[in-house]
Amino acid sequence: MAERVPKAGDLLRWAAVGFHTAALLAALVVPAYAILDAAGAFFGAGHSASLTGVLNVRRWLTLLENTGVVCGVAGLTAVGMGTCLGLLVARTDMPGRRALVGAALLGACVPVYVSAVFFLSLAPRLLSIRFPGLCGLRYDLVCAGLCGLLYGLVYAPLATLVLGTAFRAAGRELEELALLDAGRATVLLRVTLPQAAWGIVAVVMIVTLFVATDFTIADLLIVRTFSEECYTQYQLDHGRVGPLLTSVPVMLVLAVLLAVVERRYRLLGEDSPWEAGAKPPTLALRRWRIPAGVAAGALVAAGAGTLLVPLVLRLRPLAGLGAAVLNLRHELWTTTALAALGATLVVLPAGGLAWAIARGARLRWLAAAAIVLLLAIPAPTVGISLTALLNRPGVLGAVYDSPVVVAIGYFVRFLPIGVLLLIPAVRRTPCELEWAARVDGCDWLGVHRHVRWPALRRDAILAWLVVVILCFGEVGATMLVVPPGWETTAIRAFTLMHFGVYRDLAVLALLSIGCILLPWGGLAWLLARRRTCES
Amino acid sequence: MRVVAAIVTVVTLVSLFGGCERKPPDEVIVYTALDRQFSEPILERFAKQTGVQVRTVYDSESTKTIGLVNRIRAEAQRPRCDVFWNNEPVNTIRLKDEGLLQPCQPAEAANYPAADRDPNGYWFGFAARARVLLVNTDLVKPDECPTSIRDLADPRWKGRVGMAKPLFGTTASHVAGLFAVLGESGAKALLDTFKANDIQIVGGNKACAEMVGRGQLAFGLTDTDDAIEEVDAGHAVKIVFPDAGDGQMGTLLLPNTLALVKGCPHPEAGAQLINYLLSAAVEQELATGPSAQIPLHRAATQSARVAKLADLRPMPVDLARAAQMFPTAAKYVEENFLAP
Repeated sequence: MAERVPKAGDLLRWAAVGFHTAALLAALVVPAYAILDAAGAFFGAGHSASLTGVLNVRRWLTLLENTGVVCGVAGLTAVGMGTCLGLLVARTDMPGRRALVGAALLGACVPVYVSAVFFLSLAPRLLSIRFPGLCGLRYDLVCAGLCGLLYGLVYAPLATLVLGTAFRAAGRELEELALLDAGRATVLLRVTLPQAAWGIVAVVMIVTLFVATDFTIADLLIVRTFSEECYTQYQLDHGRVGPLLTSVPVMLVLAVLLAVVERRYRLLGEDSPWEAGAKPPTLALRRWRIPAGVAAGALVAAGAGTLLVPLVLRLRPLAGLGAAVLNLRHELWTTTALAALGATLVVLPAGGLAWAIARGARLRWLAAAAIVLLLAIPAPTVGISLTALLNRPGVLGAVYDSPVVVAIGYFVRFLPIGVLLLIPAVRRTPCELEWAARVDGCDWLGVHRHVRWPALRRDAILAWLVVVILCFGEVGATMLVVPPGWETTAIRAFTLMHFGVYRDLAVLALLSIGCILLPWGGLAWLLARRRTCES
Repeated sequence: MRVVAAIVTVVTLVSLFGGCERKPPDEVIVYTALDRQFSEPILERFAKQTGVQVRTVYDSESTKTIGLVNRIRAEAQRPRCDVFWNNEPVNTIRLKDEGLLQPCQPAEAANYPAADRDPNGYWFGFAARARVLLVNTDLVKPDECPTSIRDLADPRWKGRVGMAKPLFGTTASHVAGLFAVLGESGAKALLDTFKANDIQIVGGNKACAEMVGRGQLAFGLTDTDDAIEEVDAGHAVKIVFPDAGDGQMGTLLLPNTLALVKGCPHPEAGAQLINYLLSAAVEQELATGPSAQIPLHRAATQSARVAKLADLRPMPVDLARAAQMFPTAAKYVEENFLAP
């Protein structure tokens, strides 16, 4: 029998499998190292003396309480605002819905540090005040509540988009049946809201994940969350053990929580609720239509105006503004370059991993578990682990000394986001297309060229842009690994923020928004142009 | 869609090539804890004058000084910092004690008092700042004006006095200095009175000074550079050099310090930069500039913006002892001011 000669397609297939496995393993090294180091410290006898402070039960309860309050208030704020605005946008005949969606899209693109600058420019006292007891509450809880409120406002636009999608995906038939027996308000409360519960859960999970793994606003307001504590402990010369022991349990708890939520609501499953069916009936606002539109528009305009105007006012005097902009060019170039590189590193394997997870490849659950673990890793833990792994002689040291280390940090933090963004695109692609391609004689490469890549490319570009935006706002990991002379805009802003909002910071925040919104504008223009051409 | 893909590729490549710079023939890597707005112009001028490219890591206010010190420790096996420009001496001495610094002999060092430099050339002090009380004159009547840091424990001002997080920056050095001067029990007793008086712990010295300037605090403990900015901004504030009377412990003076990191990649350029920073011209610039530092160089003209060195009554603190006491002080502060 003649020996089978491997085709070029087979070789490419194995190369692709190897590439995706290597990418996932490379990202997983970071949480794995953190877990092993923390476990070694916990069970090793050598560290027992230094762990007394770390394992203090009262300290843990404080961190738990603060993190819970921050995440809880942030979640409630985001869900509250997102529900109201999402409902108006997705289910009513309110005028100006598209503009509101556009505003929410823009708002969702603004990185946390820029939002923090906005809030601080509006109320500089937030920066450093120790709030007196409010209604008998302890001041640290009031601070934590305020911190949560700011995070909630930051993520409210994203919540609006997610909940708008959830309300739009609610089943038409069920609502129409319910409307035969009950009024619109009752149907809204008893049918629509329960159907959109997965959206609320998704928002709570997204907000909890982003807030629990970040410390930008918590550090400004001196609120001790797990992530902030991890960063502070590391900076305090407590070695890696204390910070890792602080963050690893939280990482594991978040990962388990994510897995439980996914199992219960199947946000990424075969019957994903994100897929909208027939459009549900529109809730007619009747005489409230115009007032609701005006009120929503005024709210958004007032919010954006109130936040932007103090920043713009801080640009005065205009003399020397050009020099201030020029002073920031290196940071802007560095951030744009590193964010572009980081997003490219993320999107390259994300498509294949999304396909593996969504389309039943062997060991898909292993890949899904890895993604969940990466999603839950606190930002400072990434920085600590990368320093320990790469700061050694040889090639690794050369990488650590170069700005590429920052892009690696972005890759570890945002690979799961990239995968999650591409899974819906995989789900939307009918399996029949692949079967048809195979029947027509396409090999592995052919299926990729003619089916998978065309199905994913639009979402891949979208995911690339989303990851670029996330990279722009990354502080926690970058802060610990950024090499000399390669400061990013987020680090520069984070450093300046502690001094109050002056002109340099206002310029930086406004330029950052410009840098982020420019590609979105370009994409929107291109898509609109394409649509015109097609029609 | 191909157009979009092409644009994404072009943006990535252009950004990468635009963002990357060719490695200069000679460079020096500086970690500086002095605020960026004060240190950056000086480092840029050095680069312009000498042609040596300066790559800098600036400090973050929330983990001031300690963050950079621990970064040097974390990189000890493979240092990448050449010059550590610290904004205080205590942690520089700790790095020396840990064997993480190497000596050098800049010619300019001879122009500084022996007390402000290491006898073996491991570190050099210059351009000092004082730890002062910034008082809001709208809230505090002249006859009530504090004169000592012990007034932070005065019940009249309960909850209306403040200081920066005492785990980082010059506030941590101040606490270590108190441990060295008053002894462990004396310093702990003093700090306990601050805590009992509900002292406000804020994000940094700048934030503390701003809160006094805005009237959120009656007075606060801060550095002269942050205090003078509030004075320059026209706020109703007054700088008090505390404990300057007879029998009192004196005002703590904290010079900036320069040190060459052991095993650093560019020792020659590092030594050259240290010599430049120790020059009278740089001291003069720091003194007359917005940070109003107090010059220590013998040839530098005294700055009248904050105070003349001769008019001050410095706290007689043994910096080596303060460095030894630093871990004890930090542990106490962490347990009592941040705990649980």
